[in-house]
Amino acid sequence: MILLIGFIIGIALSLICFISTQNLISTALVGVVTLIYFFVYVNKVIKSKDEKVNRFQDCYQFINNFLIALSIKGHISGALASALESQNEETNDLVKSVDSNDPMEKVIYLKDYFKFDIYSLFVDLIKVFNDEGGNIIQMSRYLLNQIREDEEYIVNAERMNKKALVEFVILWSFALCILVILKFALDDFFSHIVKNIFYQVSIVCILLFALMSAHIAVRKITNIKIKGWN
Amino acid sequence: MKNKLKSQIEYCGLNYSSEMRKLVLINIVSIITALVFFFLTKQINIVVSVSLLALVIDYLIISNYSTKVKLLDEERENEFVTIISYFEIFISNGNNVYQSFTKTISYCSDWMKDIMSNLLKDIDGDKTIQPFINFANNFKLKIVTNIMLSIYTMVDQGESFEQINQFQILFEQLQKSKRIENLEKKQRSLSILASLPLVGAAGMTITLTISVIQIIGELVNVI
Repeated sequence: MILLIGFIIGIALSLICFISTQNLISTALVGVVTLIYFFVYVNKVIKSKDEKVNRFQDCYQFINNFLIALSIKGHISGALASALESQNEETNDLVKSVDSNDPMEKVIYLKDYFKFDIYSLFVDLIKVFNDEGGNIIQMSRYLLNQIREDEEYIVNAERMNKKALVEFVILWSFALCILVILKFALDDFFSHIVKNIFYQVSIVCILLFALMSAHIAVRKITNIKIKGWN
Repeated sequence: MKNKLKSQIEYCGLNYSSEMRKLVLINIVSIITALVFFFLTKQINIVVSVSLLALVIDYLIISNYSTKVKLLDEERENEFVTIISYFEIFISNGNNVYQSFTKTISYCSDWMKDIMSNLLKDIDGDKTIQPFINFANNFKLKIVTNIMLSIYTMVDQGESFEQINQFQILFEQLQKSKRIENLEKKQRSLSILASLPLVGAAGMTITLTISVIQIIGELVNVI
């Protein structure tokens, strides 16, 4: 999906560059830089951010379901089985790969998969419950509050990101449309303007600035910190 | 001024002398570039432009330290909130203050680990309120002191329901304000994105205006 978007943006910027400069070298430069940027950098960064957010949401669901099931069933093996029902195949396969029959070991093993501090705290809590017993709902009250707040922050941040991204794309589309519209509106002038070296260089600089601003947008949008995940 | 800059650089964990060397090097390169351009083109405008550019770079580098200090403070305050929320989980599960702080250490950054270890070391030797005040002094937020004082009362008067409750009320207040602050910060940071296409559009308008004026100028010269 990201690669397709990158490809479309690369083609669009090249097309705008060609329409406004009539220069193949500038067009190739803008197109190649955009494609390399999206294929090499954006693809990797967005994938890693999505992995982090999805993993956190899986972790949230796992902890929530585990604690509710534990409060009802009262034993870790039953709670683990219930929690795993809502998880994807990857998590289930990972748990199955553990050689031990001890459910506590399986819960501990998932620390490598859910690399968040909150999961480590959850494991500590389950260890205390396993050793000393007690009311798990009461014991996990603050842990659940904390994880709910983190989840709420991520949902809000994602909503803000989407809104900002839509605004950003619309505004850049309008700004770049100016160049295309002017080419057709001032056709006589344009044949003179494209010969101007200052104009040629400036247009390439503006298109590269558009790419730089896309880089700033990508960095801001992917900047979601969850403690424990580096 | 010099002391303030030095303390800001050192607060960010950087070396004052090496940062100053970097600044001097940038200025020397700028002066050499300006002189080379001047001897090649004999135009004073280029020297003025390069000097102005060097001044702008100097200003940006120097002002960047205070921004870094602000960011570092915010990051540390956010970490304090996270670590104390973990402390809250441990204390509500029957651990005492000392055990809870010890357990939170594995979730701390290097800086927090240092001050937390110092706090635990100080608590061992000093049973007064002082270690808690010393710990709170590492943060600029006043509410951190109040929270540390309420934790001290737990040590002094036992981890009773009332003491824990008092601490939780204070901490929830801080947590809520930090949560709102973080979302507002995110919103502000994203709102900058909307101004970038406007800068691009302004650049296009200026480019087109200058190009059209140049063509009109050429036409006038021909006539």
